Amino acid sequence: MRRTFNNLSTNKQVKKVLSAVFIYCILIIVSAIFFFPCLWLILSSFSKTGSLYDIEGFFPKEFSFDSFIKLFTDTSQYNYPMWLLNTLIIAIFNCIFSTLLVIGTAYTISYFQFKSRKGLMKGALILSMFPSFMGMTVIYILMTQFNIVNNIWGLILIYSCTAPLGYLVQKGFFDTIPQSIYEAAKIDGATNARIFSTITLPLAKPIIVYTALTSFAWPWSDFILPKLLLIDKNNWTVAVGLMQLQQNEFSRFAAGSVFIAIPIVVLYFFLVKYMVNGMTAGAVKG
Amino acid sequence: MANVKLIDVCKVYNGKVRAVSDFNLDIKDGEFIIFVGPSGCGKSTTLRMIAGLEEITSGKIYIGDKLVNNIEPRDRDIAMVFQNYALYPHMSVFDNLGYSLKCHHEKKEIIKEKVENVAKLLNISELLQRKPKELSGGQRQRVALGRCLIRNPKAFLFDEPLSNLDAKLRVQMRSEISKLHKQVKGTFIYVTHDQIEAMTMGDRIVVMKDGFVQQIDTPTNLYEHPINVFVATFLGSPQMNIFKVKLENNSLIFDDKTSLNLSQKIINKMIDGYNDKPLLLGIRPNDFDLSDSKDYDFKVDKIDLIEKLGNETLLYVDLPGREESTIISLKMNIVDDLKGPIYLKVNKDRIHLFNENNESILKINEYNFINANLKLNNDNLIIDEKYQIDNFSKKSISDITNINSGYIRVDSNLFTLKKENDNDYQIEVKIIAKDIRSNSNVYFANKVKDNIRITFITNKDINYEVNSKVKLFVSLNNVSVCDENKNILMVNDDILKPIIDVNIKQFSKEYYIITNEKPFAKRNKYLLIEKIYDLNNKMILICKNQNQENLTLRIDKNDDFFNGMLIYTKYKKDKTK
Repeated sequence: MRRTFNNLSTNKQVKKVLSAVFIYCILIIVSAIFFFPCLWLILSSFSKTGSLYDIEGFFPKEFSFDSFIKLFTDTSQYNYPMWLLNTLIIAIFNCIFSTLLVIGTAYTISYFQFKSRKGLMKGALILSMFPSFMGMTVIYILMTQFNIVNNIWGLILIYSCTAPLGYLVQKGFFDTIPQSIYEAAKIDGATNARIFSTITLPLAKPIIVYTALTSFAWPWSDFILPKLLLIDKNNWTVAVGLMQLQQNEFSRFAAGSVFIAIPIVVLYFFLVKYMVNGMTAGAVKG
Repeated sequence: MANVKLIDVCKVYNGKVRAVSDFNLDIKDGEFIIFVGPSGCGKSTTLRMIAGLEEITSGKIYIGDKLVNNIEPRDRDIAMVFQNYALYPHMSVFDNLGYSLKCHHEKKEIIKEKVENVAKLLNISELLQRKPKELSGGQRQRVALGRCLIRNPKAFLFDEPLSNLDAKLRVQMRSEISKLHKQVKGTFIYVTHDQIEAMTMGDRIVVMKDGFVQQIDTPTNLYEHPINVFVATFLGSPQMNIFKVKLENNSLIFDDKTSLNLSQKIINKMIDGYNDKPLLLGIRPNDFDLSDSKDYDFKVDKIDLIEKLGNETLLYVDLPGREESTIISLKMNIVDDLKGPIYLKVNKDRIHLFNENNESILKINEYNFINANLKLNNDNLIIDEKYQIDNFSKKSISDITNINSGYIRVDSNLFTLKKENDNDYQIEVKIIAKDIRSNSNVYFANKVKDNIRITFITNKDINYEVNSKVKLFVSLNNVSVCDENKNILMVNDDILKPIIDVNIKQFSKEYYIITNEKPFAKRNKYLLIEKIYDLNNKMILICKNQNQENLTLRIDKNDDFFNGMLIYTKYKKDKTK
């Protein structure tokens, strides 16, 4: 009897190990599929000759740091540092303005009960269902009318003003803060502004970090809008600039792509804890 | 500290759901008042209206002498404990306690001193640096209490503060809150659905049901003199047993022809006109007692169930007039090894009688109807050939040209014991019974000459013996005149003539006057009901329109109307013309 039991438990363990091996194999394959393009890009950025055609199989023949050095030194034709600075300015200011606007919108819609609240929410939901590039022509014409085409501040304006449409995750988070906390603060003598600054904001730290990070990352890697609105070479963002490189400058393109990914990756690593909190709080409870 | 006054307060959600209707209450400075009732009765809504967290649809709320209808919660100078404590989770206990002082721009040293004092009072000094999540339920409750105490507000509001605690902690916190009330001597308004909390803590209790106040009185008076079956069965554990009976010559007859003679004390308190009518009899479980076969009211052959609770024993038995088991509460030492048959005796002075509408017939009459000879002389009304009311046509709400006899209607609390004007109406009564209410004595009396029953209410310090004769006076400005069917003919109020007869129809839960008179519809877009007079099959509504102009409407009787309600006007062309 005991023996049978032992046999049974061994069988169970073998099954468990086999299923784990199977699952890990699948995970490794999927990771490899996803990671391979990154690896290929990273390795290509170290190519010595820099051409797309100077590659054996998948990988470059010779490796060097030339592409990275050229990225910052050879600025006569392709001014990468300038593009990087432009991208940084756009991302930082968009991060500030968008976060303020999105958090403000989400808090207003979640906390205050006003007449057109439901209409506004429905309108925003419908508008956000359309792909953003549908309005490209209109945006371009409007920007020309206001004479802010080819101006990074125009781009920041567009990014910041369209950001509040995506307030739903943040509203979901604010909805989870119990109404009685606000009511207690009201009775304690706090004004709406004080409630927002001393109660809502500290409680909403995860969602603020999440909003700031996504607002920073979006223009950092966006291509369509900057391509449309930024004409002058010196106003280009990294994404637009890199697309203009010649075919034989492929390793430079790769180096530029790798370099631009670094700040985002670092930021993600530092703030991932808050991000996950913010995303789950907004998504699950909202 | 301050008194809190609610006058005709109503709350209607989206013009449809009526949460609170005609709430009137005067809470005295330093009083501990409890709102109690089942879920959805409007008690929390009323508390939130006092706090300013809920807008009131109509009526007035005063805190101290200040009308606070349109004042923000932060400027009402009140404090509130929430059901879920509502502590600020990111702040330490110290910051939670000091938050309101910070909002009122107090100096740091003062905040520190006050927080430490309150923490000491509530025994939470060692918890000041902890966050709310690091506290137990009881500790959180203390912090929430401390947050209220720190500011010395005009009124303390409690919204079911103990319902999240376990039974043991609840009993402990209950006594602590009561002690705290004695210590700070503040005006406490406390909402609960737990009748034990209500009975043990409050100076006065407001019993609510379906948005309406059922009764307001001290716990003892609510228990002893419930105004209707709801109050009678809601308060008291185990609850009162209600029996179906019929009244025949001062005896109650049960469906199996068992009879129960009424005591003289109960007969004296009863309102007339219930002979031969079906009634509901209420007997509390502890008003039964074991007796012997010689002197008993009920004989019980079999006991369905015995529950021994330690300090008392509950017997479940079948008695006539009830479909379900009757609960009888007896002292433990009497019922060891009790077996049927048993003989029960009822304390007949402590029974309660209710009419078919579930209302007590032992209650204080709100109005007294006194027979009177009425005569119209030109435009003056002569009562009993002695008293004269001038300008009758201006005050009357019916078009009367000829009248011989009827009633005058006097509110029970409007009688005075001294003559104040020469023209005061006077009657002599003989007191037959007396009751005590929270702030007053209630006397049941008979009019000396024609034996009409009168109820009058006096201050608590005015005492009369049963059988003594008393002269009562009432100003003619305080009487209403009724016809032989007790329909009101005249009220001493600002009735605007002509009285307009209208039909009111309901569409999607809102009420409309459909009129074919364009000017009326234009002048009165909506009307706010300020007072209602019941005329048996008609009703008079004293209303104000959007321009604050008074007008008087007469409509068919409908129980849906209440003070503070809005009626809209709809113009419709009359196609028959």
